[in-house]
Amino acid sequence: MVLRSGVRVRWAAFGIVLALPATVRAELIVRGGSARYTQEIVEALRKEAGTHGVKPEVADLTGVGATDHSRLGRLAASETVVFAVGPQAVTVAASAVEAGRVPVIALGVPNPDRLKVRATYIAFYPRLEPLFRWMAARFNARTFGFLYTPSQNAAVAAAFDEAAKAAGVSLRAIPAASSGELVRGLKALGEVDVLLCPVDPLLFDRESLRIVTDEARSAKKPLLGFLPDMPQLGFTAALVSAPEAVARTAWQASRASSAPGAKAQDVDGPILYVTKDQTTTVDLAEKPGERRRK
Amino acid sequence: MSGAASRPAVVLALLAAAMAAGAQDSDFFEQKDSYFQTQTIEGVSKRAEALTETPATVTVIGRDDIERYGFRTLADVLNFASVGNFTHNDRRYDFAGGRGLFFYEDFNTRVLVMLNGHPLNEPWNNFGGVGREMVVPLELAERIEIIYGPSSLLYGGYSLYGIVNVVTRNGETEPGRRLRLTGGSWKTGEALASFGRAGSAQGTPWSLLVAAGYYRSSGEDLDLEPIGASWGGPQSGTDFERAPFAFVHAQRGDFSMLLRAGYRRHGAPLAPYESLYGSTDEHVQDSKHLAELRWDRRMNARLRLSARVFHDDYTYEENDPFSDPAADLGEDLYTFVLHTDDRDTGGEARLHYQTGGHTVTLGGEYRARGMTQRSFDRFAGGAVRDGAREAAVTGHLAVAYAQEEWRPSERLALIAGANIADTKPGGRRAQPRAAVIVKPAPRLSVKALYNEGFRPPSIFEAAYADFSQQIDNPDLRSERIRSGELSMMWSPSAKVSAQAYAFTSRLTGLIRGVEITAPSQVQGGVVAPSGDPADLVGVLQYQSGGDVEASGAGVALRARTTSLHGYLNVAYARPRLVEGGSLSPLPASSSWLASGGVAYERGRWTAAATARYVGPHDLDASREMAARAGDFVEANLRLSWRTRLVYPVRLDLDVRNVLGADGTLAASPVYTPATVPIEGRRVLLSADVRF
Repeated sequence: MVLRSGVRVRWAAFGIVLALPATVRAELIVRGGSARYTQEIVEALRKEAGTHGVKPEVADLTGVGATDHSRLGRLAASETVVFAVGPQAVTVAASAVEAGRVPVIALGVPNPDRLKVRATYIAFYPRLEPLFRWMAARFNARTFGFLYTPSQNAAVAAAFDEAAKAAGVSLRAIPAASSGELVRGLKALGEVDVLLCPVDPLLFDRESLRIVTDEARSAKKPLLGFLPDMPQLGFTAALVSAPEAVARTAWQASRASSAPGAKAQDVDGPILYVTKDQTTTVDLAEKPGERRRK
Repeated sequence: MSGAASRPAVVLALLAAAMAAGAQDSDFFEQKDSYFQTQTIEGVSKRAEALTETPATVTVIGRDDIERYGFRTLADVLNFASVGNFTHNDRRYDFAGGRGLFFYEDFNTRVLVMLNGHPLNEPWNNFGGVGREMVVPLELAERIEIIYGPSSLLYGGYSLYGIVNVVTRNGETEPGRRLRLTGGSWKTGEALASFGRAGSAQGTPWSLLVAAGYYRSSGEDLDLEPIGASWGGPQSGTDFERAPFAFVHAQRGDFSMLLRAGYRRHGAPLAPYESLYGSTDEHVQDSKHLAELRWDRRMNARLRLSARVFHDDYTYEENDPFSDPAADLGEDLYTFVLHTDDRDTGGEARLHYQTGGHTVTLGGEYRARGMTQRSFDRFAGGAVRDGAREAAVTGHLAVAYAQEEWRPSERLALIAGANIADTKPGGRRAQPRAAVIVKPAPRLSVKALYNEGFRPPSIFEAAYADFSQQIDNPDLRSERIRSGELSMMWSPSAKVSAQAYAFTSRLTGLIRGVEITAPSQVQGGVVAPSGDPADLVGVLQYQSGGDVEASGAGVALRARTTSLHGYLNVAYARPRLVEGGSLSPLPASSSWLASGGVAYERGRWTAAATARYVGPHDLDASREMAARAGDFVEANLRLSWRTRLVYPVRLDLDVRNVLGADGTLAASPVYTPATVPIEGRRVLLSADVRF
């Protein structure tokens, strides 16, 4: 698989472990799932480790099972930090390394409050307040719709709402747990300028995704997601933290004495504005017209 | 390039573009596992395990497959998607068998049927329904776990053929309002409504799923070849089925609650026990109501504690009309009525402790069981013949179990466990498990399994006595099975997987009904009320008699591309009844079984076909016929279309037995004919709306 960054990595059915040689300060990177974005984060972490003079080893995991649990426990026994990428990797890693003994840095987790796992979380979403300011300018928007499944993303919706207020725009929450509720909820589409969809089970249900993209297209409203795959599935664009920035933040967090379970640490640095045809790097501090081609 | 020549190129280009778009789609939807869930199995070790790591050969059928292929009952899943399990439908029940083992009138007493890990087999006769008797419609199932061979170490018995566990959806996986309506051949109608909701209160997650439904069918009109003067000919409305149900699953934090209520009434058109042919009064009815409260808490990274309490209530009613000119009161029409009511109340406590490469499971369960039974003959006018028979019996099941899983390296797992169970009836029995799982490559696992299982005699078999038809047997002991197995699971990619196994088993102390022909045959010191041993001649007593050896192998393949899904299962088993030093084949058990399915998805359309092959099998020895049954192919079709009529609607067109196969299955000795015909072609149309 060739990633956006052009680096070829090995795909794993369930995950990848990146272990560093024991002769240097040891780190362990655990990855769960095969999602494109989390693969990119893993690759960026490898590069980040490389800039600090270490070359990680890559190993495949087998799944969320006792084998992975015991294997991670052994691998992490001599480590000082564990980076876990993806919710399943975080869950297994935190359990295997006896949380508290070895710090776990959690990446690629869109809704940390659902995990209830002791770890230091790196925010999945870009810094929200400047993101809202940028989106408001880019799309000339004052009101944003936020479509989400309450059971999965209630905390995320609250965070988006808080950031929208701080940015001086309004957020219209559209809770929808099923495709039927989606149909009713999207009747509010006429009252918003832009529709936002977090990483949510609705996206992974073909029927729901089709309803969302059809309705947004027919209402001629920009539809923004937070996974780089979304533009290929009918979204206007996706806004994601640059994997390199995520990796850098995670690396810095591993060196800091941050308390596990605290609020997710924001990622500093540019974000990626991904459309169907191109990916553009955006500095949220700049005005939209000043963005540069990648 | 000419226009004609360029057309194929344009078509190919469009096709390639469509496939590329489809591949993009497909890859994305597969990423759901990265964010929300991973396929695991819970039925073997009572905790989530990867399929490659569980100490058993397993098949998991997920909700997508259930919808894609149109499986309607557990019997459908066993027949069309398992490796070596099957059911014989005698138009009353689906009788399950597995790995060559099948016994007439077994009533699924040797397969453990579960709903969310809650055993459903009832205490009166150990019956576990795989039709609509006890579980919920499969439209509410998240997945179905099929575990082959004896694997009931943590459950205390009953699993000689295996375990079938239906894991239901909950308020989070089936959110919103849903209505599904079905209609079709044989005056079939079904309605299913559900409401699901999930959320979080003060940081504590909760979910609620409430569902109810009703199924009815008049059944197939039958015209069976006459046998003698009183059996055979056309009949209508005798194959009927009615099945209402209600279901609640609620969860808040560490607590969850499971409620299920409902009954299923079914006609008996083949007139068992020489009853009156063609009567719409003949039927069986199974009512199953249960409540379970569960607590499951992860105390820390190593320790997880669970506990549950439950109460099950099961009633059975059987109506068999007879015509007997010599009956009392000058009436020649009467109905034999059998009514039982049993209760199963108990609790379980369990802990999982995980440290390093060790995972320990310890627990215990106790069930108090009680049964009342009443049978009598009722004349057409409502009068009851003298001599109604009643019995009230109690029993219990107590089991303590322990299992240790040790993974000394990434490629090796050693699993050992044992339980000791005390049952009444049945006595005390210990049962071990040992497994070695080797993973030479991350996607390949090889399992060497040794399992033992037992089935205590049911209360009915051991304790029921009316001294006119049946006597009890206090000495009756549990059946026992030993099984050795080599199993392999290989997933070379996320889109292809293969599974294979070879096994050998020996079931000892087979419990069977024996007609007493001489007083010396009576076991357990049972004495007739009159004190005359000769009075017991001619009655039935359940006794342990004979062993059954079986060996066989199976292979399963699953593959999918962007738009195609398919699977193929082939199983061979050779069972032999060992009796008095001689070996004889087991009737009604096909050595060869195969099933497969293929589905094609494009846009809003899905077309799927499933088929099964049932190999030839012997008739019961009492038939004195040279013929065999089985050796047929039965196929089903499903065409699905997703659209929007204000709200999202899924329309399913099902054609069952699309080839109109005239297959037959060997009939139980309680029937007049030697074979039972499988159901004919049937068309069903369903609309599933989420609003």
